[in-house]
Amino acid sequence: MQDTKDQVIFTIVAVIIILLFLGVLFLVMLFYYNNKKGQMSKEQQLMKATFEKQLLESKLEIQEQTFDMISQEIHDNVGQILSLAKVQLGIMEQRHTFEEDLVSNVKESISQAMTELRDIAKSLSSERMQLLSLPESIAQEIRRINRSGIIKATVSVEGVEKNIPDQQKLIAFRMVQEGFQNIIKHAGASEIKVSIRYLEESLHISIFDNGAGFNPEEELKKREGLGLQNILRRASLVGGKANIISRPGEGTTLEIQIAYA
Amino acid sequence: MHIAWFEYFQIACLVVALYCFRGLRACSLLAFIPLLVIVNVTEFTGINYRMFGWESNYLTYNLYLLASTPFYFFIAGKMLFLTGKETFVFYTVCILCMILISVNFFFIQGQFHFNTYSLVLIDIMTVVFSSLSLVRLTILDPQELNFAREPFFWINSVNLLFGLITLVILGLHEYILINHIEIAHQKLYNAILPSVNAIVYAGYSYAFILCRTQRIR
Repeated sequence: MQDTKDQVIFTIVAVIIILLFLGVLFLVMLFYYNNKKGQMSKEQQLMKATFEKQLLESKLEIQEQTFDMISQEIHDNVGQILSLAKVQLGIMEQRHTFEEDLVSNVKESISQAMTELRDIAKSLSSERMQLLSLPESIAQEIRRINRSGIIKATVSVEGVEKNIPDQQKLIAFRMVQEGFQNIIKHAGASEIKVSIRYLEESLHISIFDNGAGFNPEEELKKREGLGLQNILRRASLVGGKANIISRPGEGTTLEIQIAYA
Repeated sequence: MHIAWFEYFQIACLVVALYCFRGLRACSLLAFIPLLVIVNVTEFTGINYRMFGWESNYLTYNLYLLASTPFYFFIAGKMLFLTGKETFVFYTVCILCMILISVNFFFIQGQFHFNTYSLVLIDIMTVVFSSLSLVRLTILDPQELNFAREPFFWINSVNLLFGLITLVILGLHEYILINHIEIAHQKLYNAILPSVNAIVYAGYSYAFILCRTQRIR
């Protein structure tokens, strides 16, 4: 009889212990899940902070390059045109005459300088960029390049245009601008072909030039290759990728792919 | 007149609840005050039933089950953060439980026989509600919770453990009593339940203090 009682006590205590164990196990699992959630949340916050830092760095870089571009454009373009106008006015002053042709040339130079300044202002304005679509902004940039008469640039758009967030659009446009700058500065090209393709999942932009070409791997290793590195980094920053295909003497193709957010 | 040692925890818990009144109101846990009054009155009369000339204290505890359960369900509902249809389902289940407990009290086990069926049902509901509440608390909040500072966590944890233990001990109350099942020369439930009660009411008290400190913050 005592044995049976002992067995019952043992069974009851065992059941209680098992149930308690299950209860405690449940609580431990909740603790574990909660900790995991905390870790994930911290990682996400860290990733967000890193992304924002990179974005800020990129914006500062773009700003720095923009200042360089303004300085260069004013010096090489507007400055030259206005210098010419000044020389023409100087000639008129020396001759003490009023030649209609010369006045007309001065007016034309000043008007050209104004157009150049307007173009620079347009291509730099982020606000204007937000109002226009990406193909429109690129087309505007191409018109500016074509006006120089040195390079013939064309753009083609395929697919139905899709909305891209302003931040992504601006960075994509700045990448294209950086590509154009590289072509104008280094490639010695006579032709630029831009193709914008809106695919199902992502936007593809390809910029081809028939210039001197180069070895991308070597160029990316050099410090001078910072412009190219910037393009690659900015592409990854907006969740996309960039690829440079080039060989000496065979021109260059810059491919940019950006997933829709 | 006798006061069992675990009753001091129950009395202290009621005092803490009154002291943290505003904190409890902020956490929607004010129903704990009448619940703790019922608990204290029940335990006092239940332990000192001979002083009142009663033969047994079953009626006291059966009435306790009947009176305390609505308050418990109400508190559980508050801690589950119910929305829309969930509220309807929850209160439907609670009303059904209350009907079963009342039927058992009046017609099945009766008033002078310990209502073990009701107790098992209440314990099952306690385990289910506290588990759901803990899962909800952990999953619904996107941020990591500091469990040690979360009053609902403490209340539901002690409820869960209390429910699991009493489910067996009080569910088998009749069997343990008839067969004189003892551990350390004490009836099994007398040996285990006081400690469990002390843990539960200490847990509640800590949760009330957390409610108060959170409200102040």
